[in-house]
Amino acid sequence: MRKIKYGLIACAAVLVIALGVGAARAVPAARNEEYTAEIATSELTVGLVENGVLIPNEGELLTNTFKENVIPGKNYTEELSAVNTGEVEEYIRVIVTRRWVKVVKNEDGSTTVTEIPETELDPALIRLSLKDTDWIVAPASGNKEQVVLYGKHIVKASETVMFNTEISVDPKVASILTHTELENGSVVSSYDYDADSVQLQLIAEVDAVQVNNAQDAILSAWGVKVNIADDGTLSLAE
Amino acid sequence: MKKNFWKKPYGAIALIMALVLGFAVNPSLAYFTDYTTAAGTAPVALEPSHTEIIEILNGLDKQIQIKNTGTSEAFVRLRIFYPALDNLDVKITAGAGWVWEEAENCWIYTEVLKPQASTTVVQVDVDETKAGSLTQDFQIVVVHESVQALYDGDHPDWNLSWSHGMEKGE
Repeated sequence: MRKIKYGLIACAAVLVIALGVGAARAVPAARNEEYTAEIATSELTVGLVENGVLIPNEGELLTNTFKENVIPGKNYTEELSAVNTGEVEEYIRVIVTRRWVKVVKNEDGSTTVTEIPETELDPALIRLSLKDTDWIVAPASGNKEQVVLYGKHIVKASETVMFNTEISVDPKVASILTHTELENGSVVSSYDYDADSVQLQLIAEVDAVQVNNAQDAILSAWGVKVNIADDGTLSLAE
Repeated sequence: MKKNFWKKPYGAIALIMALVLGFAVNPSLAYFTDYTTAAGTAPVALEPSHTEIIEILNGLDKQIQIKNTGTSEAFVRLRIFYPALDNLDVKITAGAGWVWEEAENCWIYTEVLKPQASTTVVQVDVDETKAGSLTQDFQIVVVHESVQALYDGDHPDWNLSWSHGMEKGE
């Protein structure tokens, strides 16, 4: 039995050394011959377009959407699209986050921006017109602020797929004003929050993943199980 | 008796397997991906409406207008109170845009009032001949109310504005 034990340990040691030496030898072997190999890799990239303007990564949204402070109930054009800016086909998903923030002006002139929890002011009061013709619209689990859109089809190079057309604020948001009657009979209104203004915030993230071996790639990159039909149509797995 | 792990070959075999597998398993697969993100904020026009009455007195008569002194569009309505006296004859003539709302017992201005704009005139005429015989003082009191104009799509909506804008009102 003891011989077997020593034999196995020796075997293990040999395996380890052999594998280690093999890896170590690879380096000088590669350096012995000089050669060049050109590897052609097509670029997979994605972009976000707002009202016809390509927005750079970590760029700013809503800069030209509103020419005024947002009037509750009024529709504003907010055409958002994902665009394949690369050279190869890809699958795309979009994560849209909408939330409320309050802005307080400090004595030194600076401002403090704080998120208003969704339990206090419903993010759904920020109304979007998400398109479900080319997208599977799925609410993010446990997060009222986020909506996830999965592109149903393979997006070709230079192809643009719109996912939203308008933005508005539900007039119900006016209920965050409290009206108080003063002793002289006049009525004053104030926010329910200690803030100088209430603002809506919109965040859009566009993700792209390769088409080859898409099921595994999407599961790895997005953590979502999908089915891919023969024609490339994507659907969420049960 | 204390067990010795090395007395059986299983431990050594397991060690070998772990070593071999440790070297043999491929690193996690990588896929081609990309992403881009952008964010923005915009202030919401949630402002209490600010309006004031403009009264021009001419004897016992008065001309009434309401001016929007705030920064947001507003809807306005007003009530005119006066005592029911035998010799007090009051005639109210409202300009374009004013409509008598029986259910609310008030005059409503159906047009949205832009910032710094004023309503048309509501004319209150008192029959001075009859009023001259009155033996007691009287007052004609005008009370007005305003609310920020809320929209329904592309147009300001009167009902929407009053229902949401004043739902927590006094």
